[in-house]
Amino acid sequence: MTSVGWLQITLFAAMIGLLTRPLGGYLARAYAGERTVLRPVLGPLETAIYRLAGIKPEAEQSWLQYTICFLLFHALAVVVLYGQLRLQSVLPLNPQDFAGVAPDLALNTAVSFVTNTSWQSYGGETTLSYLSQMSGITVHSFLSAASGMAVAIALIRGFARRRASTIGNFWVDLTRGTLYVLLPICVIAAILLLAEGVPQTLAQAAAATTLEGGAQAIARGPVASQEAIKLLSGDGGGFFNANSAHPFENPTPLTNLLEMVLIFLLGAGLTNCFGRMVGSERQGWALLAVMAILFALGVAGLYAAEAAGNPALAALQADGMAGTPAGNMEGKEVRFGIVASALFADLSTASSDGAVNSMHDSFMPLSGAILLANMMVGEVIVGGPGSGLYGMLLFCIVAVFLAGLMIGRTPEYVGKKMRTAEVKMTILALIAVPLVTLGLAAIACVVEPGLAGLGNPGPHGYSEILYAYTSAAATNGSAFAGLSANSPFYNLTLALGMFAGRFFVIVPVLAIAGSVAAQPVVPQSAGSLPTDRTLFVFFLLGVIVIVGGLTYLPALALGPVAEQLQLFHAAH
Amino acid sequence: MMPDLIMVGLVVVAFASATAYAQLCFRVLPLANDRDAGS
Repeated sequence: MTSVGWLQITLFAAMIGLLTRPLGGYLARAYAGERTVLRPVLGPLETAIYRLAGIKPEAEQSWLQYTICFLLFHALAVVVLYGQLRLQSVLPLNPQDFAGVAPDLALNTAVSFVTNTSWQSYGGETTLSYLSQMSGITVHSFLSAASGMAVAIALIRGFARRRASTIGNFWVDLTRGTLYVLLPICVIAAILLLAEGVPQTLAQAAAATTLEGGAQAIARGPVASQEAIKLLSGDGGGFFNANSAHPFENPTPLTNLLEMVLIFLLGAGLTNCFGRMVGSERQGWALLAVMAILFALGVAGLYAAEAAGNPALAALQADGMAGTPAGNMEGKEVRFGIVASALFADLSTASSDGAVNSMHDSFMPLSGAILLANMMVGEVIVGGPGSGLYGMLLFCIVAVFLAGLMIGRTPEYVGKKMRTAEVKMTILALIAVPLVTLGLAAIACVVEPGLAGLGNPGPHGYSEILYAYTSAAATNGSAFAGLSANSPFYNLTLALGMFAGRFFVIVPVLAIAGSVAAQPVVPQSAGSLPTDRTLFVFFLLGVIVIVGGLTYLPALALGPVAEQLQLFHAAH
Repeated sequence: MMPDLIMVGLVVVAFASATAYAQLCFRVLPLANDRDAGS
């Protein structure tokens, strides 16, 4: 570990810290339909969309109506994207003449991008036409992020409103999130990426002759536009199979920093937006503080483990030169090095993004455990746009519930009582992801089609399977690699994991929104637990770690923990 | 054609189950609200 490395991490954290408050204020105003700097330009377009779609923006919805609209929209989106992928061979903008995507892979990909997961069982540059990349993958990156933010905003409204029967209008929230938040930031980011050398073209792959005289096709395409939303949306689905490790997606250290900031930007901004909408910015800062502590622990652990390198290689004096350990550079881009790779990997799994600039499969087992743990705690360490915030609010409900049990008082959070209904819904939401993750991983470990995809035996192979289902159910989308996941078994079971991990969490979250919106606000009293203080920050932190640990520690022990112990054993 | 029908069928079943889940949550909530309102 070096001081320059720590400086890079500090610079990134400072940038996020500085951007959180202004972005939070902008988000609160944009979703409330108030005047923002972009309203004079985008307002007429927003109005035109409502007229064209027959939406009455002033007509608000109950939580059940909101949920039904949300589900209908996503059902239609899956079918449309599936059809487009199947028919891409007869659709335009296919200069490489790619065939239609196979049915199981098309379903997996459609569910993946509609659920904001971006698990990719395919290589983008060898499978998808430009039309599929642009109007399929990129469009759904926008829509899935906007719908995730809509759910978070609906939940915040639930906490902010008093005796209300409605939580907003899904179509309005979807439109405003796309128009006022995602599009403007993506336009700026895409231009910056273009300036740094990321290609944006509809020309077919470039033909090159290698030094040996062989022919080589150099894939390119409309990369910059997809790259911007890939990172901002928490989606992470790359144009190229190598994702942000590919020099056309992430050519320079500057683009690497920009990409990392984009990954955390909206998740951090939404915490401040939450604080503003419930009337106390301190509530938002408390949530961000919990996220920051978990992030710091994760990145420190990753950096330390990767900088220390492989103990088995060190014992053979095969690691580094002249007694100086080089750390674990396997699977990493030399231009990024250990710290930028470790930081990117931590961000990618702490958020729901899943983009990679290094191969997670090649990280040290202890690092693999941290990456898994980031996803297993529900991706609440900033998380994806919307999903991180509502995931963290679920843990807040559990925390105040436990605190209430200790003192024998009905728990309250930001002035709302957390009664049986809210706690039931919270548990339903929190149990969905582990149930799917561990259940599907267990099945894959014992059936022939599951074992057929393994690239490694022993604990590492098990980690590959566990990582795949954890990533799918947490709607992360990053892969441990090594696992051959493009088979009907994996495509269908991972699609099930992504579906359940998204919708069986969001339904109870919206139910909570409706339930708390109907309540009056309970005035703060001497008996109320302050949820914007240091004590609550550490209490919430403990709840997240304990719930995550109790749920997943046995699964982690069989994979990365066992593998790390094997390495120590080999070193001595 | 048959694989496509199966895949679309799976999508329909999945979203129908999510909608039924939402309806189930809807039935749970009002009861709990009434029972716990004074606690």
